[in-house]
Amino acid sequence: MSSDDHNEGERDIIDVLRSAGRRREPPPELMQSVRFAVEMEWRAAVTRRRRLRRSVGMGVSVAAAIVVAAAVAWTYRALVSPAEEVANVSLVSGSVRARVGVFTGWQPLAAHAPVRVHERLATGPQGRAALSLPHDVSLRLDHDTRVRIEASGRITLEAGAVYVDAGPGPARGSRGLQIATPFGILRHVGTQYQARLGATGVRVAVREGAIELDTSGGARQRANAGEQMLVSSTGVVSRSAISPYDESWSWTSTVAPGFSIDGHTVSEFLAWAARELGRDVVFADRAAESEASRVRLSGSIAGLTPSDALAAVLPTTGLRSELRGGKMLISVSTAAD
Amino acid sequence: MADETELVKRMLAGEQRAFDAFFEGHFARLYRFALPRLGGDPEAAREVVQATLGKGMRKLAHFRGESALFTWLCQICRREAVDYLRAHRRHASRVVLIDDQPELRAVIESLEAPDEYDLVKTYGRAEVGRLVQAVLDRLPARYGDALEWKYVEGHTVQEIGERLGIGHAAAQSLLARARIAFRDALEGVFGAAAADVAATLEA
Repeated sequence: MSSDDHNEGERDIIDVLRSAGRRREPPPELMQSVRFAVEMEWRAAVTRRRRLRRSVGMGVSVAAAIVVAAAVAWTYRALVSPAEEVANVSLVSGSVRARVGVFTGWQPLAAHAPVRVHERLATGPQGRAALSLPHDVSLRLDHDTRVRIEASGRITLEAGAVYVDAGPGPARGSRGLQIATPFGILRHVGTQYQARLGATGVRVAVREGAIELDTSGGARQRANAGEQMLVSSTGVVSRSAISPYDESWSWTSTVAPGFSIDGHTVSEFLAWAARELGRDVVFADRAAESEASRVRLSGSIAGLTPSDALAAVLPTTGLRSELRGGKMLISVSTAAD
Repeated sequence: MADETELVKRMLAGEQRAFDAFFEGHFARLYRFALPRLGGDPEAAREVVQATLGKGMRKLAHFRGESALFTWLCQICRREAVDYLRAHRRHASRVVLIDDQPELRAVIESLEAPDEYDLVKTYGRAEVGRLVQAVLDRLPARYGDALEWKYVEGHTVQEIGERLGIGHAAAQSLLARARIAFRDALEGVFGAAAADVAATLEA
């Protein structure tokens, strides 16, 4: 008899097992989502434990007392005062839900709603959302994404992908925004970037500026514009190049906060659209550049993506655009157009 | 139990493989534990299991190995489920499963035979079937998975060894231990021979 054959002594057990049937397996996507959240708790617990041990070793009991007092004060404040508003919903597309705390129900998230500390947001398979944070920071959520608002300027990414646009130029007060993932904490240095969680790690791509990632292993990694890095659960970092107009950015423009064109020049409008599309504005000649600076726009492009807005606005200005690699080429329309 | 204490030590030391083993060994079992207690609502089960495991991680240093790790998690899960149901008034009454009855709960958690308690005769086929699955979930290590793979799904010993990352001989030995543990647990919980439980399920 081979080792795989069953003997008579096992027959009753086999009958019981077969009659009871297979146990129900949780859906894989549910398992993945819970795993990220739990792994994050585990890493935080390990970090707290290490810090505590270091503190004890150094004999800083006074500091510990201060931390405890601060925690008590924070808890007291959290219990007695309403949660702080830290963002506003600037755009919602498809199914997006929000809930406060673990034990309240999910509610549909509406545009212009305030977002408070301890709130959790979740986008459905067709859902996306954009939040407006202090210092003109735009935080966008791709579909199948879950985030938790930990505090003002601190967000935990539990699943899916987020995009951060802190506006052009060097960092202002926005540098304080942190995105926590199971694999480390992201901080940006005046930038556009996205972070996407996967089963084996987090992929961070930088479109503009730079980001820093403090990995859960304690190392600090930096990525600059045009670079993406994959940080695995074992702490291995692999890097590759990514263009600012790579296909993986395209979802971010579908929930781009609108640009108020009223009273702005075509040049200003083009700068906004080009940045959303990861391109540089290049004028074909002086005439096109002069026209773009001279013409002021009126009306509204509310609800249009940057690409749609370009297609709707430019024909009314006597200008045309063409995307060539990383450039958005602007020229004066001809009769043939 | 010593293995579980060791696993917890490794997790507290930040070892990724220990966390992976913990999660893979406990998540599905805990989900199955929570789901029927939350009226079969998968979203509610997700919330409660996540809250349970999150709390488990925060309290991990307090785990002393006095009970099985899964039993410890189930105790947290029960409280989380009650809180959840209390907060969600649509579930007006709490779901009480037969394995939550005090006398049976003690039996399942200790897997020792109760006195004068004939479960096979008391409950119907569906409940007995669910209880058999609950017994599988309570077995230590990956015994429940190995038994299910072998006898329900029909995998070979070789395949089971590959799934568990162990050799053929080790898988065979694990299956032998799993059969003994399952038979003992079954007879302890039901107060009847495995053949009688099988007869009830087939009736």
